[in-house]
Amino acid sequence: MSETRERAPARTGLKAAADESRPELKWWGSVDMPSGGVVRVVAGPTRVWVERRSNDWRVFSAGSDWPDERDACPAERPHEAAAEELEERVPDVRFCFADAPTRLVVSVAQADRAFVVRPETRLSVGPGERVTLYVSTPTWMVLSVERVARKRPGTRHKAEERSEPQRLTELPLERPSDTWFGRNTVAGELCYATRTAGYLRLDEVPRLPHLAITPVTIENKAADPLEFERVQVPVPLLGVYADATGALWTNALSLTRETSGDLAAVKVESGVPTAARGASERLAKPRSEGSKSSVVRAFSRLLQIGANTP
Amino acid sequence: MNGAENLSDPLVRLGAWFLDPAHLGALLRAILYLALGVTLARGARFALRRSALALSAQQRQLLTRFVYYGVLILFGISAMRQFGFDFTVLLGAAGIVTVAIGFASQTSAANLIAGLFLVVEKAVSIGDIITVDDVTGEVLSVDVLSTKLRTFDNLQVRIPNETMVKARITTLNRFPLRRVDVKVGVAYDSDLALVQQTMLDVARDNPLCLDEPGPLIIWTGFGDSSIDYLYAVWGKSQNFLALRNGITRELKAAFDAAGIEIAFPQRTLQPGTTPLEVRLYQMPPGGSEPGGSEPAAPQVDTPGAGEGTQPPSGESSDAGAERAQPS
Repeated sequence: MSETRERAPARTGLKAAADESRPELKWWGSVDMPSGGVVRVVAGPTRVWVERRSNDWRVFSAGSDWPDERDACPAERPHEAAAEELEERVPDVRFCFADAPTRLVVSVAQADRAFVVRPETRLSVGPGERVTLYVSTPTWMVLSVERVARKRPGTRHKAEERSEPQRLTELPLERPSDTWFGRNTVAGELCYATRTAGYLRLDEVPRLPHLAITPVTIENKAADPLEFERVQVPVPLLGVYADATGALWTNALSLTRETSGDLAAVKVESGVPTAARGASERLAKPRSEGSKSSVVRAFSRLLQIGANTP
Repeated sequence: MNGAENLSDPLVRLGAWFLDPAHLGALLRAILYLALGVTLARGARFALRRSALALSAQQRQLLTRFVYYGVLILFGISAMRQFGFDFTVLLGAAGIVTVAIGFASQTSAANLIAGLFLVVEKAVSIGDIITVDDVTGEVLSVDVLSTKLRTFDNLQVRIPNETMVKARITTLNRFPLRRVDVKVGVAYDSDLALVQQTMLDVARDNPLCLDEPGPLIIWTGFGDSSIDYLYAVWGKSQNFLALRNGITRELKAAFDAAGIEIAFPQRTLQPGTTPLEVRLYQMPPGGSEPGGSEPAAPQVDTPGAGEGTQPPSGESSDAGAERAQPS
């Protein structure tokens, strides 16, 4: 009985100023929750419910319901949900506190491994050509909580004091398939696999709430065509940005094939990608910073030309 | 009384020896050496266990034991020398002792040397999952004489190092990837293109199944009752069991959904030239077993409709032939 009472509808609301612009693809944000409050977040194929109790936070998740209708993937920011939605569900995990923090923060993060993006059809870049390929990779949702202390009205300082967000859990918005990126089955790196239609025009790229778009610029200075079957995109080294519509972007990558035929100059473009119109702030910093040398090592094998793992 | 005096005589002499001021100093020095040796050995062991040396767990364990017992032995010898023990006498007898020990401990010596080979070759390491003969388990330690495994049903198995050197050892988690092999046979009337596409779809939809290296589908033969395939998918070594259980479940479900039958041995009985006659009897309400008396209203159903009822004959009873028939 007491549990039923605790699940009374929460009087909640988003505090973020970005609410006014109503970017339709936005699903992240923060929300203050009373004890017994339930919020729901929808990001592409993933739906998550979070319930706050006096001594714990409970996370419920539902599987992918729209795997074949990606264009219809919805996005809903954390908002008040009916307690009845949780009646039959068992929480995936509970996070216990002596006194549960009151604010839920839903944020974006990059995947924890690099992606190997395989074009649906083999791509070839002619000699002297410079093209930009737009690839989309799934992002992760991070659930955190923080304590908020309200200050008395009339104080000149900020109206509230917030503690450092305490990370509860994170989950992939779309679980990608595993894959291996290496010369053989002994030496290599475990990555995630995804496929791309190989969009070359920005207006063709579908904007989906759970996918981040990475512009990969490939310049072929060599005299022969550059053909490749797959591209490794080291997303843990990239930040995440959002444009005016709420579509997610990462730092751009550029890859240059020199005249000698070697893939030498590869770099991560700093700042907001130029294709992301209206993007202003970075939503998530790179998961792993990595030193410059490690970046070079990672990118030196970014592109494999016709390499097949035996 | 005399016996008691004889018994206590060596003790008295030993006590007197220790109480001699010259020997008392030797005793104190020996105790000091021993205490110092134990302290240093323990300190070295503690430091080695927590050091940042780039050693495997097995190498670290071996080095720790070597240093610990080496320090103890050195300080023990020094302590004994304080009492005037001359170890050169022991060295002189070492040849004879070695021969004697060699005969007495052939097995132990073989295991000892085999253990050294195991360590030098790095054939197994602590934490490896290995299969030796028919035993599979996690390596707990590679000791001087034996290697100890913990099986998955939580039993400890001690395998002599000599056996380890001679046996074929399979390490299951040495490499990051493993392949799950599934032998599957489909019915002869299956659409093989659909079978192969279904297998590819199952592998593609399982996130634990690696996209690269891709799944292998190899025709292995026309079996007695099925067309046989080897269906092999790759996964992360840690996910091996989850992948094996998941992929077979999903393959069965996908075959069911696609109308593909997983074949199993079947036998079809076919009659010879004369069809088998089958009779069905309808039980009268409240009646007795048919055959006890003449049935009230027999209904006859034969393979050849319209042929009428034929009494069972001895000819038809042995006319059936048995042969394997694919489903």
